Amino acid sequence: VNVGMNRLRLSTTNTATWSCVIVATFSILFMGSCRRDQEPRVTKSALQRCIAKTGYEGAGDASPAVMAAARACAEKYITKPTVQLWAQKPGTSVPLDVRRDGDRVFVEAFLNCAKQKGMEVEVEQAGGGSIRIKARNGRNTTPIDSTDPAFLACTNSAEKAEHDRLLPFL
Amino acid sequence: MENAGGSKQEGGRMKDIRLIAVLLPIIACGQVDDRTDPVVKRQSSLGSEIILYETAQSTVVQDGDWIRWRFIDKLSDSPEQLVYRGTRGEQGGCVFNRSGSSKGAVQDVVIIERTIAVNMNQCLMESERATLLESDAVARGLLPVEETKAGDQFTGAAQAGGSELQLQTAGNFSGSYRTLLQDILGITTTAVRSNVDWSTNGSCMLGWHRWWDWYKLTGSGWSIGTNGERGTTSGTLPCNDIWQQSWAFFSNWFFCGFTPTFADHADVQFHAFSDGTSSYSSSTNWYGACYWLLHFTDAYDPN
Repeated sequence: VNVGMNRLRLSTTNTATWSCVIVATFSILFMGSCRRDQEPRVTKSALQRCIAKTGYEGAGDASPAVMAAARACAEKYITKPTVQLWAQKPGTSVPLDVRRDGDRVFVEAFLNCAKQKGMEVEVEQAGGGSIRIKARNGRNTTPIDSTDPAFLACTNSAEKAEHDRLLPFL
Repeated sequence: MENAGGSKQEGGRMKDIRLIAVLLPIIACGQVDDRTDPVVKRQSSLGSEIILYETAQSTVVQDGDWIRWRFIDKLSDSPEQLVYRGTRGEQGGCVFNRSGSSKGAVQDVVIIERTIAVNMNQCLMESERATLLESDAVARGLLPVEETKAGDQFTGAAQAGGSELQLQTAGNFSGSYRTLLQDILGITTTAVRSNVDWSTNGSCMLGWHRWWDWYKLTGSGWSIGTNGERGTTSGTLPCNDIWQQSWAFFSNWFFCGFTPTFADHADVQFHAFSDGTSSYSSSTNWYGACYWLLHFTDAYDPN
């Protein structure tokens, strides 16, 4: 009985070993095929690959059929916003005067923060309540754009201030 | 009993191994397969950003809440950088106003302003603006010409006043201002333009006519809603300031997974002055599920 059990154990061990070998082999094979697929994904998204197959080159002057195919790709792969859209809600639920106050709170919070971070900021009216913001580095007067870390920190805190103002109505 | 239990245990292990053997390659592939994911992440100087779309002309990336358009062809060596804070719109989204004017009666130039970044959560938009020779702008494809190829175009009836225009003579001008919304594929989806032709003796108008037009891409679900125009009264001859104001509202229920996206070219104005200069202003609001995929390009032809 013991010999039989030992054989069974040996057989089980062998089977387990072979299973591991098979798993490893298949995994390597599959991973290899994945890697082959993965390579273009470093530079191309699924959307872009889909559009590339249509022949559309991005110039907007392709044939209607090609453009329709390109748009079908967009509809297939872009089905939901990836940007948080709390800001989309105010129009329907927040009274106009509160929205305008939120606009004011944003600008004030941004300007206060910019001052603290040593930015020189000019604000111009662009019409209809919109403003143009011109920001410069206070030390070397180089223009600051929306990729500047200090600018981003200030717009983030300004967004929070505006959001807090609108929150009771959202 | 002990052995039977051990055997059961071994059998259980075997089942687990077989299950893993079947699932592991699938799981492994799942880790790198992005068939339903339209995006690719890469590291930038600011952290992780997502490439939404890349063409020979531009790359569109998502960088946090910002959508950024990186154009291969620069507008100019040192375009003017503008950051706008819009106002929260009545229907959601953000209303962005732009305005400007020509400094002199310089002909054959066009001023292009185009979005390079948008953050709708913060109602912020960054654009770049440059004055270019019109021929150069056309040759470089900076003035979109889709309306001749893939869209519906409407041109309103012209209104006129004063003497008949003789556009080949000195003191005659032709200007326009157009706002266009383009999607991430670089396709113009909607556009509205105000146009004025005028002649002047340098201090007062001699004659003018004005008209408007709009455009929408066909075959992609865009439809036009409220639209109209107004301006200097036909048959009159003000000494200064001939103006054209145009507007059109567009919607699309198919653009973004059967949820609506709206493009409101609410106010597109062009003012012509008797000294040959002009000014423009606009108010554009786009909102809905996929409004963050759209950006604008403005083309201002001063005179």
